Amino acid sequence: MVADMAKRLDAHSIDGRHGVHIPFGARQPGPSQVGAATPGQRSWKCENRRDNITAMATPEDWTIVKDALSPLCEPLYRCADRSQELADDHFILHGMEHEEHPGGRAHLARHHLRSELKKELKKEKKLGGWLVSRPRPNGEVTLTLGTMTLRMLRPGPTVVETFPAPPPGRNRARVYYYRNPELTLFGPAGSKLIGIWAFDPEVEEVAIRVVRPVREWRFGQYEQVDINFWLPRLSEDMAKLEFVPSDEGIVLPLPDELEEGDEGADGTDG
Amino acid sequence: MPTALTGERIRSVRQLLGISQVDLADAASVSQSLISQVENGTKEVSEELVQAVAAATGTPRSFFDFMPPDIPLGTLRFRKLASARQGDTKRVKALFDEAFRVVAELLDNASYPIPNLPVAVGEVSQDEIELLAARTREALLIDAEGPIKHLTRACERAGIAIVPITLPNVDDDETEAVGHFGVSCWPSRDEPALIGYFSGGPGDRHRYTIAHEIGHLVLHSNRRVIKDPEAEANRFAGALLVPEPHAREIFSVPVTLSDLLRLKAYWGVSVQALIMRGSQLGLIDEHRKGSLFKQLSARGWRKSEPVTVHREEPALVWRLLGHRFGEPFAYSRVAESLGLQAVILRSLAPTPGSRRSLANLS
Repeated sequence: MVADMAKRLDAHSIDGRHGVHIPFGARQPGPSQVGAATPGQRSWKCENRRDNITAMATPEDWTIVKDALSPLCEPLYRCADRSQELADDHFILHGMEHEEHPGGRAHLARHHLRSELKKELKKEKKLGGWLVSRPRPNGEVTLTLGTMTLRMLRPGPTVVETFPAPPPGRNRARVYYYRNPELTLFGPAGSKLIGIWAFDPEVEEVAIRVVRPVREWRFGQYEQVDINFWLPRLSEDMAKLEFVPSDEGIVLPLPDELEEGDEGADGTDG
Repeated sequence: MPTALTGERIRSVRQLLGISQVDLADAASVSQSLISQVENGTKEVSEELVQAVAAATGTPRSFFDFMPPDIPLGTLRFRKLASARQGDTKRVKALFDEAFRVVAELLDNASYPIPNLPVAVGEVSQDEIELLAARTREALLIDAEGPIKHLTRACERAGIAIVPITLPNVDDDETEAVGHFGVSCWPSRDEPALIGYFSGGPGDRHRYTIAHEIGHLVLHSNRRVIKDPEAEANRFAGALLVPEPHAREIFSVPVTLSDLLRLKAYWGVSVQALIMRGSQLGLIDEHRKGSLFKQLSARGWRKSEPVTVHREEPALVWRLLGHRFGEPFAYSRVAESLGLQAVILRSLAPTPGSRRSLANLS
């Protein structure tokens, strides 16, 4: 077990697609594009691009997106963690090396993510209303909540702390998605979001960064996004959990505390 | 009248307040050498000196006539950081000695039952610690299964008095800097037991500290040579708060931090203590434990975890004061009779609800 874990971490250290911190040079996004919170301190915090003259996001947009994603964070992370683990296990079990199968682990993880999300829907029915869209040949995972869409992508081409969103390329459907045309029709409820997910070696678990693209960009250029945040692992409801001690039914055996019949009373309590 | 032991009491009041001989001499307008001589017993204590020290420190005159019980050193246990300063530990001991003296008198006055806890003898294995924790639940009339809803009150019902410890002139928030979490003592099976916990910090830490101190009472009140008493008390605390069958169930599947937060809200036990419990029982390996702690650190949760565990409030000592002096009672009136500063009495036996009210106001 320990040996397996060690192998898994080893595998990540040689696999650029899974989290090795490689200097990113010109491709590195500008500082304002990246959430202020460090990966380890993720909470609901959005960084709008103030230097982006096309930025459209308003505080209301952000609230709507946050509220929509809030019930999804925990199950999505649970599924993503499991998918990553299964993909790693597969490589370890079959003695597969990243050099021989570049991108293989990412494909496996993507398919497992879909599978895990479907299982979660079947078992818990708790994706906060989000649905997993129909299967696609490349295993792409897209989640929908009404008119809102979250497309789960792997960062590319190399992972740095910022989990850069991959550019759309020339695929027309993807370019259309990146332009977010539904924003004019449905407002923020029509947001087309991208969830960039990968193993983060800093915290030894999967991390997910969510952005809302507003137009396409080319490889090597800055991301064109107006909403950008690290998806927290906990919803706000979760943070409201509490333990309230209760001494109901516990009577101190003081002469003036005991009522008739209390003395010597048997029984237990929590 | 001052006696040969009054010099000891002057040392006690000084340790209690954490002041030096020079400070006390300045406050009482006497020389430092005089304080030193009476503390060491090389000079008799005059009534004038006692009055001067009492007035300068706000201590009831009667304090100097009481002697704290002679608690055998081996029965006094501290839960503290290795970095805790010796001076602070002396101060905690001085306060705890006085607390024990007052509480023992109040319990005796009310003919309160003495604890009937199981007591370990000889070598104790890890499995036996689990068993003793289960038997302690029985002795405290706590269900064998499930979370403990109010550990403090269950202890108080069983005759284990619990007091919050606040060092005079040290704020709650600063107690962490003092490096102590708890202290306990049970001199013998026919005497009362007392647990003190430092009142700063979250409720889950208080519960764990109390469980840890109960571990000392059960495991170490009758054994003197123990290889690692703190590790044993930690094992006991985990076993008392989360019994083994439950822990096995919890860790039978891979758990995430989200799962652990839910479990924290259910068990009233910190995420870190739950991880340690899984590790104690060999249910998670060292790598997984390290990984979980790394995740906690990365999120800043080592010092401040999400999910509030509300503090339990002790009530027994306050009730005993009411029983002895009638309710409502004024701490200042009780102070002279019990020979302890009103401010210290108030900190040891706060009016139930007062801390909560203050917290709500702040």
